Amino acid sequence: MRLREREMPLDSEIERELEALDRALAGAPVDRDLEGIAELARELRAERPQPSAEAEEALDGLAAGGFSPRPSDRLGRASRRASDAINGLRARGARRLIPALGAATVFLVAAGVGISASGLFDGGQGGVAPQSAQNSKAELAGKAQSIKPSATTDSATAPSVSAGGAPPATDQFRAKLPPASGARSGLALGTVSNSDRAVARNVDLELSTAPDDFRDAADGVLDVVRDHRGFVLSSHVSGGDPGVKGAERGHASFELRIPAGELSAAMGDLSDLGHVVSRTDGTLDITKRFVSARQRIDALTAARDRLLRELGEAATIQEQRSIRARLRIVERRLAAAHHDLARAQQRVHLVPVSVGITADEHSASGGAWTIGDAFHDAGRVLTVTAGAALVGAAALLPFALLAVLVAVGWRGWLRRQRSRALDASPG
Amino acid sequence: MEETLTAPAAELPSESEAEFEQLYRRSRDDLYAYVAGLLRDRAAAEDVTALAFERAYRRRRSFNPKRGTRRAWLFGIARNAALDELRRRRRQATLATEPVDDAAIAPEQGAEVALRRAALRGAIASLAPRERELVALKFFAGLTNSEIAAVIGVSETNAGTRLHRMIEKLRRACDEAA
Repeated sequence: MRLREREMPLDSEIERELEALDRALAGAPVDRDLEGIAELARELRAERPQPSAEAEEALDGLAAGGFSPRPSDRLGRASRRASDAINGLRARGARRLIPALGAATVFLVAAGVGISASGLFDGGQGGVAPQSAQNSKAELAGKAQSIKPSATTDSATAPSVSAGGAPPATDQFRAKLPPASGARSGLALGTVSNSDRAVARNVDLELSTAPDDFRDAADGVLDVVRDHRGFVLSSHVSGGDPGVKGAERGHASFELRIPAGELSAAMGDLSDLGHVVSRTDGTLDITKRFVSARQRIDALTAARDRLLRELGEAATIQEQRSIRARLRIVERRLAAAHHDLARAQQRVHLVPVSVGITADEHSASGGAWTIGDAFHDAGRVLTVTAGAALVGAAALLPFALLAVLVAVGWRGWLRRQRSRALDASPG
Repeated sequence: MEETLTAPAAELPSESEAEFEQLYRRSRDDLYAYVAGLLRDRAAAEDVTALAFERAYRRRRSFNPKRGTRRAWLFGIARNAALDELRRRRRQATLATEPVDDAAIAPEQGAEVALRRAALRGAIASLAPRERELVALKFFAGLTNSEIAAVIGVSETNAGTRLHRMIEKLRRACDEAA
């Protein structure tokens, strides 16, 4: 960086001589005492190199042709093409389009970033309810099934699993289930591998909907449960009656059981019914319950077989009565052990899901898109855009600084090189 | 630029093109004289002058009147082109300067005039390169002191001081030769 030179007034005599130079070059008379300087100026002017006629002709030809770079000057020709293109756009008034193009670009980028960040199309976590919820509601509209607006408690009977019979089991369930001959194969609590562990899951889901969508969402829960072969253990729906002015705020709660193999899909469908406020997933390792029940079953089965053999060999009635009494006890215990095993299997197979739905006026509506929603979305888009711009600027800043440093360094280096070239020019 | 509705803009020379044409007509010989004075090579001076006009035409819309006159801007471009030519020559180590053209002095001008001109040329040759550049800018190209200051990147006062110092050196050299 060159320091700015301080402007100092020239000495009056120097100024006078410089003026004399200019007057002499302009052909004007000068003071007698400065005639020497004037003569020198005229002689220097006479030394002025003049272009030859050929040079003048060549330069005029270049001027007539718009100063096109020579064929050998590739860089000049490339930059000429670029500047011609830019000048052409300017001539067509393209500069006036720059604000509009800039605004359009900012709008597109902001919309893209905003939509991407708001999760509008990711099917669940926040934002407006997706289209699948709309479809679900449309299907529900024609159904007779409804839930009473007043506080009610419905209980549904769980599919029964007989204690001694074969329990219902999906492939996933079988894969997790410890083998029935766990005791004989040496399976013990401390030796269960991770793949053989029985894990019981549970999910709590809290949804909010616009007041107008509350009833449809509550109905939708039942459809989702039915579609995924689950059942409703209990449900409670209150308020939210769209036909009653000033009705209490709608709230619904459901205790569901969903087959483990359907859980993921069912949760996706349930999440589509409204705005997901919270979701909690829990797991519980119940392998110990399985192992314990199986060990008891194996031991009691062996005891029963032994008692049956003893009963066949009993010689007296007294002995037979005693064995039968013990046999009844063993069979009761065996039935209880089978029952425990079945309950453990059911716990793994059927996942408890708690769903709460609250009607909230501030919740994003899956129905009509209001001007309030527009302001809300616009605010989100602007916030996200500003954040993206800030992050982008932070990422680009080091590169921009580096580019500025390189440019400044390059200019300084070039200036020094030119200065050296001038100083080294021959006399 | 305001456009008329009666004719397409492409058919009319733009304002910047018209101004550039005027600049070319006013400065062609001056620019050549300055570059030739700097390079002391007529053939190279023709090339560099053409190159300077090409570059200036390409950048004609970047001219900023707040930073000086159009002529000063043009001569700044020419100066860079000429110095780049000097750099190129230095790299190629072909410092072939044109010999003084003694034939340019007409015989009818007489011996005294010839002697004076020879002395003056010798005095110019004895100057430092930066001072010779001042001669070229002031007396060959006819730039004003403020334009010279803008071209070489100093203040106007500094340019005047340098000019005066150079004139004094020339006068002394000429007097000594006489």
